[in-house]
Amino acid sequence: MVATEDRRLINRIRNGDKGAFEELVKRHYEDIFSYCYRRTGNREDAEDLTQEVFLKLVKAIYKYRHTGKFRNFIFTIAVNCCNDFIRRQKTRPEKEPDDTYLDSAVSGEMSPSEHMIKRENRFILYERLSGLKEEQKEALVLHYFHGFKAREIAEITGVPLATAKSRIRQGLEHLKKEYEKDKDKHIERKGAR
Amino acid sequence: MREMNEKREKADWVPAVRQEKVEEVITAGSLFMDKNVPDVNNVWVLMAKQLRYLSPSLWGCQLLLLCAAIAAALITSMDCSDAGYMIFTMAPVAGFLTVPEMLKDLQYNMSELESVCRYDGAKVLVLRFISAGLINVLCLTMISAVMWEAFGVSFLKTVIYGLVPYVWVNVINLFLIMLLRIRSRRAGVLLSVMPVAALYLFQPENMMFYDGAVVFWLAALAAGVLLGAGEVCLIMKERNKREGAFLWN
Amino acid sequence: MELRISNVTKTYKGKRAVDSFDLELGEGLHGLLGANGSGKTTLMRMICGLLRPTEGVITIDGVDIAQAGEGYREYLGYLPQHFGYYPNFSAMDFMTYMAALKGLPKTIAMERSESLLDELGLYAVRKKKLKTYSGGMLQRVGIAQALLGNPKILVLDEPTAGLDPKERVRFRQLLTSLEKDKIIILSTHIVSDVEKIADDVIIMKEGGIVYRGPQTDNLEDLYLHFFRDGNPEDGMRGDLK
Repeated sequence: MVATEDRRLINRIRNGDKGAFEELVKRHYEDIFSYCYRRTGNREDAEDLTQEVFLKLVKAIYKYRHTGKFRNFIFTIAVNCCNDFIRRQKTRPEKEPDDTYLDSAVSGEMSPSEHMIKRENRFILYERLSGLKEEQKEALVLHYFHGFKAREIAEITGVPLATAKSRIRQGLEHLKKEYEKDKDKHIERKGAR
Repeated sequence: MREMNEKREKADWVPAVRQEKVEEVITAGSLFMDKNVPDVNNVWVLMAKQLRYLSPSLWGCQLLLLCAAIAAALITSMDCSDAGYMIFTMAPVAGFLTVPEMLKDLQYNMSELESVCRYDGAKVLVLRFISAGLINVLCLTMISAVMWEAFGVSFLKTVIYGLVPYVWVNVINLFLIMLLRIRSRRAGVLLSVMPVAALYLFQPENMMFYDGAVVFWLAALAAGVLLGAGEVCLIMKERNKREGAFLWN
Repeated sequence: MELRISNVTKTYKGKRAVDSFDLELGEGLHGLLGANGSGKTTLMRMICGLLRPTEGVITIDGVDIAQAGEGYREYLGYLPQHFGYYPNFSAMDFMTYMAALKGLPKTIAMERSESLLDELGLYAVRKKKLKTYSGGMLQRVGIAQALLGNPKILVLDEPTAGLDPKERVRFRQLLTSLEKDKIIILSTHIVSDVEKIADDVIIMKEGGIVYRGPQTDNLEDLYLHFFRDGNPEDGMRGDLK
């Protein structure tokens, strides 16, 4: 049903209906923003990339007739935008993930302890994912945070199915190893005390 | 699955979406849509507009003839040959407005404006012929069906007796209007009456029901269609040259 | 974007309507002044691809417009000097019909038709048949259809014919409000049509250019200068009387 609704919105956009574009943005903004944030770790960059994705989307809607799933279509654009961005960023110093949860703690949406735990989890997971190869990180984010199946990831990232599955598997193995290392270090420290 | 999702959410670190940023995206996209027109090749919209282009008189003519056929079927009792002759007399009337309608843009001085559009002269002319042709043929088919049902005339014969005069009236109309470069709408319509009158003078009722007559009628139909197609191709060639379209007369 | 008219000549039955015309037009509003019979309309028609030059070529960004075909016409908005209409159409019917011929999608066609008719003061009568319209109202419908496709090249041949002074002012304001990334060619024999709004002025006489230059305060005098020896009627129309 959601897919049919998206298709209807695309047809309306193709006919120049700006209201349909607004609806589409509101429907998918969070999904795309969260993907871009997970890839870049920076809020401003993620917001800029999200805008770029939607502008490319409306251009693509005007020019091409995409017959597959809409969500795959928009994520293909998002993946390509993020990859281009990361390639451009490689020459620049690595940015720390920003302290956006500070805002929510200050505004009272979260208790200080909740905030600390989230921040800690965020840093750990971000560091772990940052340690992966870019294509593995891309596949894991799409799979675990956005619910895409391996076949869909293959379509979105433009690789064979076997490659997509292998990236997910290798990424998970790498994460597992890092967590095991951390666990051993933690046990050692406890023992030393 | 739900537990997995909840675990995933707790591990997640994505900040909340800023509403002003969403608005920025909507504004940027809307601006793009304002400046750019989608690439739409919508033949059906164009076809629908050609139906709107056709005058009410063309529609009215078809409706009148259909009503006359139904009235004849209900009220009168004709024999086969009279019914066949009735179709023959009605068919040219169905078609005599078609050519003036097709060339209406020349007659109303619209061709210069239309020639500068994306879908110009030749393409639009084809769509007009298809639209008007479909209406005429549909009307003739319905009249034929009424005659066949009411008076037992063979369906093939009713279709041929309808199509042949219809095609030849259009062929002669096209020839006369193109040859004489008629610009006036009234003159074009009046001129269209001439082939209709000529056909009535032809008095084909003696030729209708011979055994060999069907072959003759089929040959006349084929010849008419070929000639008509040739004329349409010539007009389209002239439209493609564009100068011919609005330097008419 | 650049429209280039390269050494273009158009001959009708031995008479040169346009003679070795050379012109480059970039973005902006170009006023084309000239008396009746100076070749302005023939030139406008060639720019719109309606007439083929006998000699020379017209190109858009280096591409021959005859070869560009549909791709060039998508950029065009044209108001001919004499244009007709289908009497049974209302203004809205006419606009949506032209929009369909220009390949505009339905929603855009409706939106733009209504907004253009509103801008030209015809919104209230948009559903009335064109045969009930005055000459000035019809001319405004013509201007509206020229702007329908948001054209990059706008060719207006005597656009103010039939408009009263108030409508002419409104029309000039409309032109100046258009985006600057368009090539607008305004062909007229009325100097005040292009005074103050044209970025540059081209004066045509007997099929050729006699003057090209920026907007000047002495445009009237300049214009009359070229037509002093011709028909006294030329150059004396409109606000020059």
